[in-house]
Amino acid sequence: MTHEQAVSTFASERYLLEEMTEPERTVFEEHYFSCVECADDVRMGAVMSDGARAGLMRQPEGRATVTDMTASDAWRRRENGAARWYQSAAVPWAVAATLAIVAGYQSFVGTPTRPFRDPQALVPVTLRPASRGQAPKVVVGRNSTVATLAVDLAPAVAGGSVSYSIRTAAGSTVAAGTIPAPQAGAPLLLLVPAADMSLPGRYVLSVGDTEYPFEVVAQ
Amino acid sequence: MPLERFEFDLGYIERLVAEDPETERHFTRYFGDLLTLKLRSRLRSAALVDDAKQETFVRVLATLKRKGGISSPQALGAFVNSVCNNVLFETYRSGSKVTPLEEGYDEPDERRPGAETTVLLGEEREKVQQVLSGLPKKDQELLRLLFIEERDKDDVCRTMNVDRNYLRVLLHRAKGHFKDRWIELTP
Repeated sequence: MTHEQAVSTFASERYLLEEMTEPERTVFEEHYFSCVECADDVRMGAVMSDGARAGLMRQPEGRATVTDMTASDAWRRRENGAARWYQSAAVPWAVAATLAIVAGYQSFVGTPTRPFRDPQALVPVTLRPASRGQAPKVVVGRNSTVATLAVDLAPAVAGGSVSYSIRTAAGSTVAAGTIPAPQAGAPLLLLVPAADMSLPGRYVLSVGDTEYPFEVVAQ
Repeated sequence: MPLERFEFDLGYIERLVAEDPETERHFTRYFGDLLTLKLRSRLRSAALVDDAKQETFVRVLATLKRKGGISSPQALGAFVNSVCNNVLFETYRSGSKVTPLEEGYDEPDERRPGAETTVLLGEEREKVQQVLSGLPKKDQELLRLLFIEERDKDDVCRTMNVDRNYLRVLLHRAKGHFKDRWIELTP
């Protein structure tokens, strides 16, 4: 395969769309391993599609957005009366989070797949600091959009902000950032896109200096 | 994303054989991504992908050091690919020798790119998020249908009112917009 043939047949796009037969794939791979331009093109397509799969694309207005939003963050926006708060997708999530707090924690992850027309309960998995005991299991179903993790923070951080990261057992960071800490007595609820934890296995949530190991189990 | 361009010439091979850290870093990143893309559609788990990738690197570097290079430096990519093909073949063969699982056992398929088989680096996630979020709505819609909802391609075509050929054109354009935005945001 020549570079011109690869371009004219949309080989890179067909590869990304998984439309190629095995022999076609083999021929195209032989080409892109030797063609810097096609290698860049394939890699760029993979970054774009992996990024979308990982939940890094903020949805167009009118669609629910849950990426990396904490319940406490949602409440803060609500109480600050941010512009057009009533149109924000955060509101049903904040309501759901409150319901979850009232109801207490349960031991499985929730899978809110219905449209955000009605309040929905979050069912967080409560994580404990690293110990010798078995790590809590976070069940991620095929149609899960988010997993809800709950941790109790030290009262000293209440109302401030904390940094967090989620890493795989191999040490790859799948999510990280700084988030507002909840008020004293309330847990930190972290909604994590299920796509960020699509591979079953051990993960570690770090909040500040504390590590909370857990295991993702595919349903 | 485009990596810094290195010429795969005699100098590159010599630096690789001499274990120059910058060249080694480029080599493992450049071919590591390509190998991940090749392997993740063929092997069922992230661990197998990683093992095959590492084995490919070890064999390529060992051969280069033993022979002091390859006859045509421009053929480095083809050489890496052919070594990977051998490693893949051996992985399949060794897999067929293990004790078969019980009938009806449904092995989890981990070939979808996840935390351990993605080409995204942790530090790039913020930029990828910025670029994706700045794409035109039509591109975002396309990516959502294809990669988040993972809809059947024919279904995507019906939704977007296009045929399969034009779906490739739309994806090509989305990728172009993604690349343009990426370059804009690169200092």
